Amino acid sequence: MKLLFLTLIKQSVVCGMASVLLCAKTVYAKDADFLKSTHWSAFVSQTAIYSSDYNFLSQSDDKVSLDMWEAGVLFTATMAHDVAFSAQLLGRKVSEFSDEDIRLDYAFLSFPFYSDYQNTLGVRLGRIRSSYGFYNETRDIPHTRTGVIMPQSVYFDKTRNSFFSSDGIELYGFHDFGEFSEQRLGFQLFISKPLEDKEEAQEAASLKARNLDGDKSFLAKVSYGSEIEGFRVAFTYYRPEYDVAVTYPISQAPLLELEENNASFYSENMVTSIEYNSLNWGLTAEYIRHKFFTKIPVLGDSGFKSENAFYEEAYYLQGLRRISQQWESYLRYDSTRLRGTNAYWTKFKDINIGVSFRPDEHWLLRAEFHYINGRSRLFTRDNDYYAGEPGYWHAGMVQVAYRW
Amino acid sequence: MQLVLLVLSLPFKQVMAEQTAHPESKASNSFVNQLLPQVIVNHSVSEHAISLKKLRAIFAMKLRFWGEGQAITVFVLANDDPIHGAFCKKILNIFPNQLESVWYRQIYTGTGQAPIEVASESELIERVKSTPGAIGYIKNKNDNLKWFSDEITILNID
Repeated sequence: MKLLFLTLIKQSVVCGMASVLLCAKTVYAKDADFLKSTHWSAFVSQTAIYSSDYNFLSQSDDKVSLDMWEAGVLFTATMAHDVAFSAQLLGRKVSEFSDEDIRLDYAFLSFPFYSDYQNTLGVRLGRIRSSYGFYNETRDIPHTRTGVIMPQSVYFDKTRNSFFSSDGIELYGFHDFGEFSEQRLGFQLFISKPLEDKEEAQEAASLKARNLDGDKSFLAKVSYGSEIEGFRVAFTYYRPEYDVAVTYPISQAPLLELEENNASFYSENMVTSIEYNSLNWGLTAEYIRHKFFTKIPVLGDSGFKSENAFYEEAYYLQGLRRISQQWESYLRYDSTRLRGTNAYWTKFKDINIGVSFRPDEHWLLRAEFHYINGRSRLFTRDNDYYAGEPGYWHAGMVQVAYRW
Repeated sequence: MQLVLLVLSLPFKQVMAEQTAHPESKASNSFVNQLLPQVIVNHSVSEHAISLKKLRAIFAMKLRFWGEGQAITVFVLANDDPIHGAFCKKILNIFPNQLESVWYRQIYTGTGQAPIEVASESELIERVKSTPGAIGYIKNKNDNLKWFSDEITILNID
């Protein structure tokens, strides 16, 4: 009860700022003004999670947990020459060990330096949410998601803060086939320094990782199609690199550990996305090939293995049924697998089904059920694993969201 | 897969039956078309007909200029307004929530803006009338005869 109370206070602080500072949701200025328009919105959500085993995005092992909440204020201002400033202040709690609940998730200037009837070329500068896959840019707004949580195969929450936003510069462009078609061909090239959430270093538990520090990252994306009707496709290449300090065993008996402060790793991701939309249906598939490469300097002639790579293959298939303006139902198969092994702790296969209800443009209610095999997308920092734990388990979630 | 689709659809068959087919399939029925939402533009817009794909691109906030280079200003009603719902579903063939998600993706990537939301149909008509390059919609032709010809232009959908 105390936790719920604190949660509500935090949510009120975040959203209250918007309500006080901005009295109208969208404001348009006169043509002569430097500031052309401003737009803001805010949201809060509270989620109840029950899981039969393990703590899943909350302390939910065999009990109902209200740990998970989200609150955000999103702001964008358009100035002369279509220069735009966009920012999101995000409060979010999904792990007992997340100590940084409120963060500036992104804040950037966007400048389209060339624009004509059908073509635009521009740059973005600042803290930018990576345009990874179809949905990373809007993943935190409950009303633009399909489910209570994002598919963990591609949009994993486990290392979200260190992986999906970074400080840098992006070149973007698109061509609209507007007169006879609603298709858009677009590209993005993004060079940046990844952000890091030091708490997330705990996910590399076997290496006792610490001092996580973003080094550099590169993203390239091409996309084609329409979000409204018919097909759209995209391909994203994303490679963030990090410096880290590790401690790892070099002998078990007696136990000898080596401390290395100049280790590093990179994560190489190739995401292929395809989606089909009609009025009543949305079918989405995204596949990611995920390579982790850890580099620990060689210690003299000791022969210790200094480099380690492993591959993960993950995808989800999702069917969304738009029943009416208020009701949606969805079915998703979400699969993550470490190449070369079939042990349950190296995979995460989740069949989930859910329903959404929007009584008006502000409120959103969702309920979904997950039947899961494996645990590789669970937070290591939230779970004490033990011998004999179950491979198959299930979870139920109910979410209430409100937006301004 | 068919079984899954059946399970997802069963409780809502009645709602599905109420949904209207796309206007193109009813092109021959002029009386029904009179009762559908109509696209209106400011008198400064030289076009008198528009393709459905171009209309969608405009209301998705992806196409920002008319063919002669004039900037497009888009006016809409609230997301849960029945006229907006009918316009989205029966004319654009998209649910309002999905259209709004398209706006959100552009707004928060700095590549587009939201349309201007107004409080009522009468305000929408007034704003389209007074804004060069503006586009919007009305509930249907029959309820808005007084506005025709001399103050706003109704765009036919090809």
